[in-house]
Amino acid sequence: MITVNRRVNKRAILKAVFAAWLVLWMFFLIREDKDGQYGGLRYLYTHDHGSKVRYIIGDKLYGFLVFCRQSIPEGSTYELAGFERFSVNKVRARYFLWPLKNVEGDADFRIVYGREDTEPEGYKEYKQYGGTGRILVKEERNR
Amino acid sequence: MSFILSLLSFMIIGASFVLLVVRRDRYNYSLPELAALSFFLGVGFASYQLFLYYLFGIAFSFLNLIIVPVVLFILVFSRYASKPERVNELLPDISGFQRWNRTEHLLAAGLLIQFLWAVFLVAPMPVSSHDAVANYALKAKIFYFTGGIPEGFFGFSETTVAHPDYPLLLPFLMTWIYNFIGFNDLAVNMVMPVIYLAFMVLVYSQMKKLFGRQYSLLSVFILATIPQLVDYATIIHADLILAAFVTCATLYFISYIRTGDRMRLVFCSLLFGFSLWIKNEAMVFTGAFIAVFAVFIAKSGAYVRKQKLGDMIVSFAIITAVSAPWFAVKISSAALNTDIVFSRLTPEYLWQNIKDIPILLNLFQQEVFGPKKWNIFWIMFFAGMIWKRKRLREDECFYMMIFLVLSAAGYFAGYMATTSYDLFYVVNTTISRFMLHFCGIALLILAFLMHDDVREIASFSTGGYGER
Repeated sequence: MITVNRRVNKRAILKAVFAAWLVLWMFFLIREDKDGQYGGLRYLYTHDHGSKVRYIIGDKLYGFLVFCRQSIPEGSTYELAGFERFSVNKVRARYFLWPLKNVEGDADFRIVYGREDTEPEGYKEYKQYGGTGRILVKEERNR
Repeated sequence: MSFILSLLSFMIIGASFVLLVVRRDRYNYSLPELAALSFFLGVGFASYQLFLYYLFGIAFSFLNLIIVPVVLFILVFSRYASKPERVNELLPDISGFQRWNRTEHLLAAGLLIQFLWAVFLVAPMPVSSHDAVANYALKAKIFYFTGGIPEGFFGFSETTVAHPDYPLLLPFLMTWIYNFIGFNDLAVNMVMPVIYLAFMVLVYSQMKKLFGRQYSLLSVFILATIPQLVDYATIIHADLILAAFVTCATLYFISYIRTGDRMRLVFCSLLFGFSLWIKNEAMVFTGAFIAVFAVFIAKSGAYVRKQKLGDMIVSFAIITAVSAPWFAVKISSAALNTDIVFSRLTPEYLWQNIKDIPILLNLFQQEVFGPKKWNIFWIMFFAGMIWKRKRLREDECFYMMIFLVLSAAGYFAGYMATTSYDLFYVVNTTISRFMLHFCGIALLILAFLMHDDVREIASFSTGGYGER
């Protein structure tokens, strides 16, 4: 009798565990996350590649990066400024801009996203992109 | 279409190895196992090929890439064309086939839904997640547009590309696909659901040999529907790939322990060897594997110990041969890991990390009890271990537990040796994906632990618990 009861209990426990698994699985599968994934997916499914990238990294940054890519000569190196440390936008910019090479110090160009409080030494204004950002060039390069 | 051809090229490379090396009468694989294993081995060998190209200065062009799969395909084709009766060796043995019951259909439907959901999420999404654009996808873009690994790459600073010291399997895999489809960082994402699918198929085919079909489907369903695992099947990260290689390698090792079949040990060793091309963390798993192998030999009867020792040497030789080129270049180019710098690991640093252990434990318990990423997987795992604690010392559970504990200890030591940022930052940004590396092994342990109870109480066919 005890064995039967233990077996029934085990069965009930296992069924409850599997039911809990299924309920949580379905819930987290279809639940919309905090970023509103369904709206985003609808947009991504109905737009071309460039628009998808623009949507993901944001209009402002996308426009600025396209401007940088068109303005900076191939084979150049650059530094990034104005991005938060470890921010996803910073690494997206680096990915987007390759084959332009992001280096640390002594770069041909300095890409400033937003405002930069101090004026870096040895660089001068190269191009502006509205109020979004600007590109500085190393002074000796323009001599 | 080009994307599918690129996947086929991986399978041709891997299948050629299996078909040319394995004698079907000695190792009976099913077609799903052949397909999934071929894919993983093919990805590994393709990475190896690209790395050798780098060493010998050969460009990563389409023609240079496909020459290997084409030659292998001709070799295999001519082998079977000359003796058509051998084609039968490729066909699955369906003599004992039984129709699927309702439970199996439901579980398979659940797996299909989960896979299609992952595809649905990936299909419209260009590469965008942090580590993908910082590391893997950027490296692939660099390799593709440079036509190889650029000079001085392993000495690039973190500003140019994240972690140049990281193993290159995923960037190589993407570079290979780009050579088929052109640079398209939308389509290349689809390789992740494919890896997820191959992972599940290979785990299922291996588990089916150890347990019954229904129980294996149930186990794979649990694994495949872990939210964290599915999340990593939708982004370009190497963590899912590492989990797949390590889990499948462990399954082949367990299978070897049970049968003594050396072919399984070869597959196990190759998968462990190629895992060293995926992430640095694979060194921990490979080290743990060798330690577990040593324990297995020590526990073996004296009359087979010499033979098992020979097997271990062969296994070690395979792992070394597979991973040596990567480590030779990594060491000679002095590519530095920026997370663990031993020269900066002072006693003060170590003490600070030890004092922060409660932070680590707190984040760990959040992972275990939070259902968003893991459902109730870790709760089930720890509850199962407590419930069936006596079984942990028996049979394969014993070896898998040692493997798990040693690997976890390796990760813990890694956290203690962290010198890059404070421990909270490092643990907070890594623990959930590090736990992903372990979830396949944990599932195997759980499957072994619960096997008898599920069979006893759930009117559920779990199979004969023996090698077929």
